[in-house]
Amino acid sequence: MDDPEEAISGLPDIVRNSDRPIIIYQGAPPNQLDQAAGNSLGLLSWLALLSLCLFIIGFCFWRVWNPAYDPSQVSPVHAEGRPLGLARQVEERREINALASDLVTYLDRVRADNFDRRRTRATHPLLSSPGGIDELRREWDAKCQSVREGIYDRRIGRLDAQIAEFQRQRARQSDPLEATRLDGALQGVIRQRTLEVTNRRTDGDPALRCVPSALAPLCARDSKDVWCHPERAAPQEFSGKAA
Amino acid sequence: MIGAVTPPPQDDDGRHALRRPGVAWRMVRRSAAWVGKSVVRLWVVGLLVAAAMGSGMALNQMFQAQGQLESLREQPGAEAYAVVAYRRELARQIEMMGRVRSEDVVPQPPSRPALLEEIDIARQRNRQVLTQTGAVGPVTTSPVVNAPD
Repeated sequence: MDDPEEAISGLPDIVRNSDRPIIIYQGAPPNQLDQAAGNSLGLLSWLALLSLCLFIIGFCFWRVWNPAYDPSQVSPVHAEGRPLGLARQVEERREINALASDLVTYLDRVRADNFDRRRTRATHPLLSSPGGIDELRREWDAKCQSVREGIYDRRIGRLDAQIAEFQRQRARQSDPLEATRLDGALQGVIRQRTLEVTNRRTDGDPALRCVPSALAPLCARDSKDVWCHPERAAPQEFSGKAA
Repeated sequence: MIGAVTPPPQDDDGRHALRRPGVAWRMVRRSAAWVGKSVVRLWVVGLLVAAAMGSGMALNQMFQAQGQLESLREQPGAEAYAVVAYRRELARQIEMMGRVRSEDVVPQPPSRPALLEEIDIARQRNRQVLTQTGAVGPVTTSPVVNAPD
């Protein structure tokens, strides 16, 4: 009987008796693993390149067409804030430039007309067109008057409520001493109400006087508001000699 | 045997070989595999080339937009920009006044930028000129200054 270990390690008879060359590799044939490794490396490189290209495309697309606004940055055009996408920034800047163009020319024209003592016919859309500064100023002044009226209304309403309360207390009061005190307080509130009504009519209270927006003070030198010194508030908005 | 001439294989043998079952099918399969491999390789390379072209175009567009923005930022100056920003601030305050109705103090108007103040002064003087010289002043022929659309 054959040793089973020898039978296992030996070659089959059909192979041993054939006239074909028998090549036994240990591991894998030469260069076969290299090729597989090379293919994997190629696939990885291809994937990496493709991912890089797609990332660049996505980044650029988002940078240009991002529809969001940054509310922390003031935009002279958009109420929502400064647009984040470059395309919208370009659009915004075009609009600003169109609105602001020829302002100095307009000023020169008005000054020249003043010098010649003639009525100027020069206009500028930023000032006199619908939605321009003149219209907004009128609207602002009207709103300020409305706020002022509201404040007076609330004050007078509070005094009216006090008067009604004093009158109710006075009607219930039987003690003459307390009734006299209530009458005095009531007269004081009525005087105060009359004063408020007069102030409302004559605009007598300086604290509640609306300053016309056209007469607002000039921007302070150290102001950091974007409508006063935009080169300080938003230096990125100016390039070259304009900054 | 030396000098024996082996007869050349006849063409019929090749034709018969093709007719043998499996040989033609194997050739078709090999050709199809080769064509398939070529198509896949072309597709893979094409995809990479297309992605590279796309990223190049995207980069180009982004830098063009940046350049355009930079050139637009050269004009106008800060003074004219401030007047536009002042207009926006007026609109914002009007909106705020419409929203908040329970204030106990009157709002203060936004302070005016220097260029707007000069314009206001010039316009005020022009109105004074009108009142001094009479209601009908000489109408000038100076062109109307309008900003382009």
